[in-house]
Amino acid sequence: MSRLRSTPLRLTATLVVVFVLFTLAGYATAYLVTRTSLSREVNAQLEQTVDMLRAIAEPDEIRERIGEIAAGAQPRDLLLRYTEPGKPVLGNLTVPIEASAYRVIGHDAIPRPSSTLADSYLAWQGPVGEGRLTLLVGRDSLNELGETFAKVLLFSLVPALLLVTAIGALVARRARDRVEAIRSALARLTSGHHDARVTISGRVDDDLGQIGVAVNRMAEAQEASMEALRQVSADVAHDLRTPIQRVAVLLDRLDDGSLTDSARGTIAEARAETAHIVATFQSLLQIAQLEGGQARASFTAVDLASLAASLADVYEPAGEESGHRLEARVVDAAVVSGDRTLLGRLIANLIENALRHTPPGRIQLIVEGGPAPVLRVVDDGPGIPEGERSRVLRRLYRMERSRTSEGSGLGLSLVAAIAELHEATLTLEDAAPGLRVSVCFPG
Amino acid sequence: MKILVIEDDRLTGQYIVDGLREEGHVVDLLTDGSQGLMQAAAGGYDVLVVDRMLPSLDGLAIVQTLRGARLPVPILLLTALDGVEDRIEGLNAGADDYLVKPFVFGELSARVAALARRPPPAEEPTVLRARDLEMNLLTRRVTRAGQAIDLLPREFALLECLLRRKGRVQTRTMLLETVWGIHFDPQTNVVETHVSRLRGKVDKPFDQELIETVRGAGYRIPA
Repeated sequence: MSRLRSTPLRLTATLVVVFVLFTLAGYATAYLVTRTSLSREVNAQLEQTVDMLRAIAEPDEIRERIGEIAAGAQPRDLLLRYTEPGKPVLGNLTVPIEASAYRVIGHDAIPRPSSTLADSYLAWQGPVGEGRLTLLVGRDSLNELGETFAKVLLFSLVPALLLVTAIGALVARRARDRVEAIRSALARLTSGHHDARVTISGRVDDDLGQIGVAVNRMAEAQEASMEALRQVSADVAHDLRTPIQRVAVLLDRLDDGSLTDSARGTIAEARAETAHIVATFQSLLQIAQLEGGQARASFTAVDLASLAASLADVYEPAGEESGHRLEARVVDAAVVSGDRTLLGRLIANLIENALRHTPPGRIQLIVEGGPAPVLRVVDDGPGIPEGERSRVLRRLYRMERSRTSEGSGLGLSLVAAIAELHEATLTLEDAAPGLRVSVCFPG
Repeated sequence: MKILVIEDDRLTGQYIVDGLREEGHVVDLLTDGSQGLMQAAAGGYDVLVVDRMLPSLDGLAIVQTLRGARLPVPILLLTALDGVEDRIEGLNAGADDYLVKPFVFGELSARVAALARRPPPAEEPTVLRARDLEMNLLTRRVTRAGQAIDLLPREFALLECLLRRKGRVQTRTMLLETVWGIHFDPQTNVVETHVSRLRGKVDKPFDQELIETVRGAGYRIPA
């Protein structure tokens, strides 16, 4: 049934069904009309013969006429029998049969070889002159009508139906392929392939061609604006990093060993602040770039389990230094489609966030494999009040408004952006006590 | 070594040149992309340091052109960009290493030194040595002055990395890349804590310090 999801195919199928029903209705009407008029003709023939014989006054003349009619009649068209008391039986029907007026009787009721008979007859029986007349008029023309219509149906409608179905399927398939080309180009565009275009096969000036052209135009505009955004961020990156680099150079020059300890301390602080500016700036730039979705184009298979294990390894001693016990619980391999560096950054940011915002305690890094892998970072710290959780993810939002707390505040925003790029959902839950951050990847 | 620096910002360029000259290298500085490409192609350099964004000719184009001409000179690409794909793009173009601005000189110096071509060892060593320390790569045993030292796998990997590049500085980011395969800068001082653990086992029980801290750069085991 999935084929019927294609609009052109469904429309064609509907059209073929409508065509067949309409044609059949037309044939049926024609058949009924023709049949009625033929039936009337048979009736008329019967009535005419009876009326003609009844109009004759002389019994001898009646017998004469019946003799003539019987001699000239084909059994297939007409059978008659005339009995008069005391006279020989006349007509081509040798055996008497019982029939009431205007009844249809089959040929099996007549004791004659059926090859010479019609399939059925319209009968009349009644007194004519001194005797009694039995008259049967053949109804073969009516039966033949049905056969003729069946033949017409077979030789005209069936080929027409086959032809219409074949052409319809062909046209529908072509239309479906064109719709499919548009659909797949749109799917590629939304998954970050900004160079994807609709291959326009067939006419450009019809509706599907026009949609294809419009999609391509939109994609070009989008690509151009993405490129412009890229260029702007590249320019901003260059314009800001060069002066920051200069500050680093100047600080290096200042620190030539002739300074007092306090002056060198100030220089170290200035360096740390510079690093902080760079980190914030870098996160902003990355979030902006991730939202473009281009990075999806270079996704590869990444084993979350081994990545998480190696990051737990990296942070374990640093965690111990601050009194945190970092435990990695990795059950089995969990492969997702993604960017290894970005996923590493996501895990690192979650670990750093836990290290920074919780008092000494346990931090668990859990990877659950399976078709839809989940990464969890669970701490046993104070957690985040329910009302604040969604705001925590918002860009530039800081839990503590004071500047005393370390970190750029962009850490979790970057985590959210990386998760979104990977079509993963990020949830913050109460771990009672503590905070559980879960990143659920699509299956 | 003979080094060519192509960098359009004079202050930064001069900073790199001064530092490298102080270390005893012969250094040329060019600020224009196409001039830089011609000079680089003229050859004779051991290492190129190329800024990614340059007037007249982009740094990436320089790398691609040189690689297209099959010039094998090692190239360190400096960049103000640090998007997701920028690093991959740089390496795909044929650069050997990639350094994001702003950097400290120590990082640049360590990476330039790491890029310099050395004759490959005749055969893969099975034992690495530094002074009285021995690391057997097959049995994974480490001894110092005859005493066995028990190391965790990551500590072993860290020590191995420093020993293999004996005499050369390994920066924090270089260690993260080599030992853990991580290509970003964590905000926490993770490498310092790892090195201090390693020192606790390798240096502390003995008289002489083996792992040196190079200020503003990283760590080194002297040759």
